[in-house]
This record gives sequence, C-alpha cells and structure tokens, in this order.
Amino acid sequence: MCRAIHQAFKDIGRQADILDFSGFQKELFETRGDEERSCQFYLKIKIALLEKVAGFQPDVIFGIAQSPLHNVEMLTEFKRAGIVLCFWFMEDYRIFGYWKNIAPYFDYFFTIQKDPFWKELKDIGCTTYHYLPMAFDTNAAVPETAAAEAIPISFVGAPYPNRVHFFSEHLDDGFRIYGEDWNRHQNPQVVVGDRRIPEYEAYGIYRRSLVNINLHSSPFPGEFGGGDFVNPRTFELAGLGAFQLTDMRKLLTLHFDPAEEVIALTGWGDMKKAASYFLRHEEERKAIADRAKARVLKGHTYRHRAEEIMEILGT
Amino acid sequence: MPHKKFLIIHLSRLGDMIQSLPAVKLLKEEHPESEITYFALEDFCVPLRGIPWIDTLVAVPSSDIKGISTEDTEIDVEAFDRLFQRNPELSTQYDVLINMTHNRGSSYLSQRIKAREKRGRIFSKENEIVMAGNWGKYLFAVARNRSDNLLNLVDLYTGMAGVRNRPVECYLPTDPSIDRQCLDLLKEQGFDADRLAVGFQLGASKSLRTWPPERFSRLGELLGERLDAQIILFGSEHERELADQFHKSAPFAFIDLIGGTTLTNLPSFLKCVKVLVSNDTGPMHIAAAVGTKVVGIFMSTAYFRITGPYGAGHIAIQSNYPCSPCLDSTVCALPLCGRSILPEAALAGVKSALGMEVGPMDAGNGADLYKSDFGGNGTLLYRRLGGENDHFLSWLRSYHDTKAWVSQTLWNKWLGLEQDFGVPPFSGDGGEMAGILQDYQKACLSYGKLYAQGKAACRNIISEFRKPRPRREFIQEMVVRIEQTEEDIKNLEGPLAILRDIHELYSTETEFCNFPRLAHEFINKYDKLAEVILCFENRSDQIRRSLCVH
Repeated sequence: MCRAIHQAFKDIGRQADILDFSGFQKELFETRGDEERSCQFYLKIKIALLEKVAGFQPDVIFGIAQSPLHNVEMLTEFKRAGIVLCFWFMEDYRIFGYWKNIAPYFDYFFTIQKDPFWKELKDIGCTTYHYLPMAFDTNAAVPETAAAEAIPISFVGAPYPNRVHFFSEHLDDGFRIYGEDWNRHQNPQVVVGDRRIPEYEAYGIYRRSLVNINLHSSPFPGEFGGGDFVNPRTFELAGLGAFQLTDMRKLLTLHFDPAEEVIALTGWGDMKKAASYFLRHEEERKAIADRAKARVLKGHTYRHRAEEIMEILGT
Repeated sequence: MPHKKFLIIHLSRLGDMIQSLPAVKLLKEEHPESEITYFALEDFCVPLRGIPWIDTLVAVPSSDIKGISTEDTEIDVEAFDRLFQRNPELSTQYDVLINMTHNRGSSYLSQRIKAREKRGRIFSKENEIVMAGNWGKYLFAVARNRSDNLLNLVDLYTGMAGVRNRPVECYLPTDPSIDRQCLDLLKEQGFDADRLAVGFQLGASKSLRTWPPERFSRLGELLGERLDAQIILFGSEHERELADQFHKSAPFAFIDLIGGTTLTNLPSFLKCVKVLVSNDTGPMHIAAAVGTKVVGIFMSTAYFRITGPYGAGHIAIQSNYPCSPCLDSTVCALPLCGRSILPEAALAGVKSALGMEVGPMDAGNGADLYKSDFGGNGTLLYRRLGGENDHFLSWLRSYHDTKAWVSQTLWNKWLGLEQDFGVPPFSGDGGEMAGILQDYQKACLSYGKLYAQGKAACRNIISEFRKPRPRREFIQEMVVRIEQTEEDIKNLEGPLAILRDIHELYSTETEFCNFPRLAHEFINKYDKLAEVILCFENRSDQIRRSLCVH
C-alpha cells in the first residue's frame, strides 16, 4: 500500500520518496519484550527517518498505518520545520488503538471510518480528519491465471473471531480458506496451507476463484455486516475483475453498488445461498465483476486517492 | 359478555396508530359491553376522534410525554408522576392493559398502571425487556428478523389484543360533511370526478425512505399517458422541497395539496382518489383505512411484510436489494435501494390495484410487486406478482419469501393461528424448498440438543442439592454448562432467529432466585422452548409430506 500510494504521488507529477520499513520487521519482532534492545531499535528507526527527511527535504510527510511516526517530539520538530504531517489510518479504530497517541499531532488525519470514530478523534483534539477509503493498485503484479485450475469458492485472510464463527458452518461446493493461523482452529476444516499469503499469490487466488468470500473482520464472533469501513480486499477483488460476495457495510454504497457491482449481504445464511447461486450463473457473475472493475478504474485507484489527498491539502 | 375495561397504550407515530385500529374494532366486536380507553399522542390521534369503538380517547401532548417515550435507562419518575396527575384515566383499575408501544418509557408506564392482565412490553426488571404474552414476544422478536415473518402489524396487534384474526374493513370512519367539503375544495382546483384520480404522497418520516421525486414525476407522466389519470400531491408543508423537485420535473398539470390538508380532513381527501402511491407513511395507512387502494413503496428500513397497507387489493413494491430491508442500526451512508424501483414498476402496481391486467412487466430486477389478500386464517397475506427468478435479486427475494412462508407456518400454531398451508410462494425448483426445510430441521436439531443439554445440567444440580452434602464443585461445573448452553444458543446461526430472540425474552421472565430453585426455572424455560421445537419438527414433516403430494 505504501508503495502504491508512493507511485500514485509520482504518477500525478509530485516528487515523492519512500522510506520502506519492511526491512525492519524481523528486528521489530525479535526485540519485542526486551526493553533495552527495543529502545535501540526505535532509535535506529528514528535515525533512518531523520536521515531521509534531511536528505529529501519534504514539504509533506505522509505516513500510512503502523508506520513508526509515533515519536511526539520528533513530530513536533517536523512541524516546527514547516513540514506538513499526514497520516492515513487504514485500520479499524476499534481494534487498533494507537491513533489515540498520534492523531492530534498530525495536520491531516485520513481515516477509512467516519462517525463515531470522528467524534472520538475530536474528543482527543484532532479536528483535521478526512475520509479516505482504500483503493486498488493498478501497478501491482498480477499472476496469469488463464491455464490455472479454477477454485469454486475461496477466502483469503486472517482468522478473526467472526470468520472462525461463520466459517465453522462452512460452505459446501468446495470452499477453501487461505491464510495464516487457521489450523489453530479446529473448524473449519477447509484450510489450504497455513501461512501468510503474499499479495501476488492472493491476487492469483482471487482471480482463479469463481466466488470470493469477503467477510470483513470483526472481534465479535456473531457480527456479520453492519460495520462501517470497506476493507482493501473489496477494492482489490473489484479491481482484479474478481467476483465477490461481501457483508454489507455502512460505507460501501459510497463506492460500490451492493447489488450491481458487488453482492452485499446481511447474513451468513444468505451468503451461503448466494455462493451456491452464483456458481450456477456464470454470466451474471461475470457481469457483476466487470462492472466492479470498471467502477474501480473510474474512481478507486491509488491515483484517485493521491489526487484527493492533494486536493484536501490544497496544493 | 361480561363488562370489561381495556386500556390500550399507543405512544407511537401516526402510521402505527392507524394500524392498531382494526384490532380495536375487533376487540369491541368481541366485547360489545366492554369499555375501551385508548391512550395516545395528541399530535397524531386527531383521526381517532369520534371513532365509535373507542369509548375514551386520552390524548396527551408530546410535551407531557417528553422523558417518557424513551429508551433511556434512567426513568424520569417525576415526569411519570405528573402524567398520572394530569390524566386520571391512568389511575383507574383495568381488566386488560395492552401496550402496543415499543419503548422503555411505555413499559414503565404499563408497570405503574393497575390491570389484572397485561400484554406487550412490560417493565419489570432493571435493564431487561419483558414482553408479556406470545404475541408480544413474537412482535418484539420479529422486529429484528423481519424477513422471517409474513404477518402484518395489524394482525400482530390483533393477536396482542387477544381477538381472533379476521379481515377488517372501514376502520376509520369519516365525517360525511367533511367529505363533501374536501370534494368541493378539490373541484375548485380543477378536480374532475369522472377521471381517474391518483394521489402521490412524496414524503416519509425519514429521507432514506423517500422514493425520488423525479421517479414520482415520471410515474405521473406514465399515468397520464396510459390511464388518463389526474395527479394530486399530498404532504405536509415540511415536504414542500420534495414537491418543488417534483414540480420541476413534471411536464403535466397536477393538483398540489402540499401543506393544504390537516389530520382532520386528510382521511376525507384521501377518499377522493382511487389509488394513493406512497412511501411507507402515516397517510398511506390512513388511505388504506378509508378504503382507498394503495401502492406502497418500500425501501431502506421499510419492509412491506410488517407495515404494508392493510386490506385486500393493495400493492407493495419492495426493493430487491440484497441488503434490504436494513435496520436503523445498519443503514448505509448512501442508500441506493430506492433508485432500484422504477416508475414502470409503480405503474404496474397502480394498474393491478385498479384490477386491470398488468401484462408482462418491465419493472426491472430492482424491485418486486406484491398484492394483498386475506388468507384462510384471517390474516393479511401479500403474494408476489409475476414471479420470475431469472436474476439473483428476484431469486433472493423469492428465497426469502419461501423461508418466511416456512417460518410462518411453524410459528402459527404457537400464536394460536389456524394453519394455512396454501401454496408456497416459491416458483423455483423443488430442490430449493427441500433445502430450506432441511435447514429448518437442522436448526431444530441444534436447538433441541442445546435445550436437552441445559435441562440435563439443571437436573444434575437439583439432584445434587437433594444429597445431604452437595458437592460445590460439581454444582459449579453444571452452572458453567448452563452458561455455555445459553451462550451457544445466543450464537446459533440458521433460520430460527426469531426463536433465538424469543429465547432471550423467556430468559427475562426467569425469576431471579438461587439454585436449586433457579434450576427449576431454567427447566421450565427449556421445556417450553423444547415444546416449540417439537411442534416445529412436526410441522416441517407435514410440509414435506404435503409438498410430496402436490
């Protein structure tokens, strides 16, 4: 996502550089729990950041979810130096609470949720929040799937409580689950592999699947639909021209028609029936997926988001 | 028939109140010597004045009800004290109290009023909803599971009133002199009594339940072209903006009554039109109550099965969006479902309401049309017109219809309604129906198992307490098992969602006491619910056999 938005800024004619923290991931996990090593690690991160800022001299620093922009003193220093600070919090605020510590220090705080999150942001003194939904990366590498075997129904993702709950009453017709940690749960027994699926591979699965199940994550086992944000998977599946069944989201209709471009349902029972229906109706399935793709290319790529950001920043 | 005193509490909006009138009429028919007191909001109960089957109408101003008509946990006791002081009728002793309002304040009120028997939402415990009577429980459970129910709110109120469900006509009498005045007023504005008159109610209580005015305008155009109809706009002054939008896009002349009617004369005005095309609103129910045919448009949170116009021959147009109907808590940021209902669908609806041949419908896949009639057991039933399932949206609607048909067939006995098997509404292949029945049977099995599990744990507790030295750890283990059973029931998926909610309501009736008495209370609850399951299993067997015969 970081690379996607970086490229998008460049595509719209902005000078943009990227500080990729993915190389630090291993060390982050290794130093957890060891206070001294952890302090050294964060110092290293800070130095990397300061070096980048000193070298590139940006007008704007744009952080995305979980990027290590949480040192308040450093943020204040950047601000003092006239740098505009932006953060794209592309997480569920109910699950990841670190926004409470950082949001007020940013000039622009972009969210994938609106109220009641915005009300909570206001309560902690962050008033420059803006809705910025997820998007599809048109530059992403996508595997060729023409000769590959089709997967009837699939899900790619993590075993959040609601998914474990619903998938334990799994779909028939060859439902397959891909992702890490699923084997820890006795049910459902439809897991293929038990490892993190890299984006490239996930895109291949999406494209090979006749029906993609896109059940948004929830910490509550019985929760199906009714949540607000639209996850990245919705945009990715749509952008790849892959057919999806999703749980209904409050913000979905701002981006997709829940009957024409994706099929948004309000219960697991309906989702199971719909999956079975669409396996039998290829033309209808393809027409819906084609419309979704067209919609993404028209308004939901990272380029569109970069343009929206720049418009909000007034530059 | 012994003299009985009934009190009906209805502190809701206009539409719900009008939908309670058939029940009141039937109550008076069954208890002609009885005295019926109706307690309602002054703003909405104007049309109820002079209704012969209401003996005493107690109309309270909205200002008096502030802090009372609420879901707030904190009860404003002083506000209730004032209400009792101002309305001596509330201090009378009643035989039967029927609370048709769905909020916490009214349930507290119901608790304070003296009555030998109470039905509906009754306040009895802190932070818990107690619904007295099977009908009350069913109504409450259905509010969250509307797709599984076929009964109209009128029939649910009738059941709550304890009278036999049967068709009711003309339950809102009008004053002939006002009827004449309204007709004269319309004539002054160019109304032609010899031409077909179709009314449009453009607004609704919430904007998301409002069909776009340009769709109404296109419908008006079609009605003029095809049926030479004259159009009359209804609505309050608040709906002026919608009327302006309508005006801008309407290339034909129409009579504009926006802001020109009152609740006193609206019933008479609505009698002047042959058909009213309306969003789900109070005026829609008034039109049905005075005998005018209605074409109701349902989208977003509105759902025709519950709040469709009451009476035979009305049309409901329901959005087919897969997320429709939504709940207040799940409404989306930009509802698109209203746009899925095409003017052509509404035209077909008007034609059908007038008894005309509709022919092949070009109504799109975004909506389905239903026509009302009375079933063999006296309840209102909407049947789908057309019935093609060649698109996912109509297929899904049809699937829901069949599921609701099965569900209703299962619940009817519990509600004391005669079985009315009729023909299942599903026009797909028999495999779908078999699948639905199988789902229900699987669900019955799951509930049955859990109830048996819960009962076994309760019995163990009881027999342990009979021992001279009951083992504390063992009892603790059984309590955990009961808790787990309750949790499992709460999380059960499948088609018996109404039962799941009714289970919750039974739980609120469980007396707060210690073990082993509490174990008896739980056994009592599980027994009652296991009986429901047994009844369901027998019914689904019957359905399967009857389908085999067909």
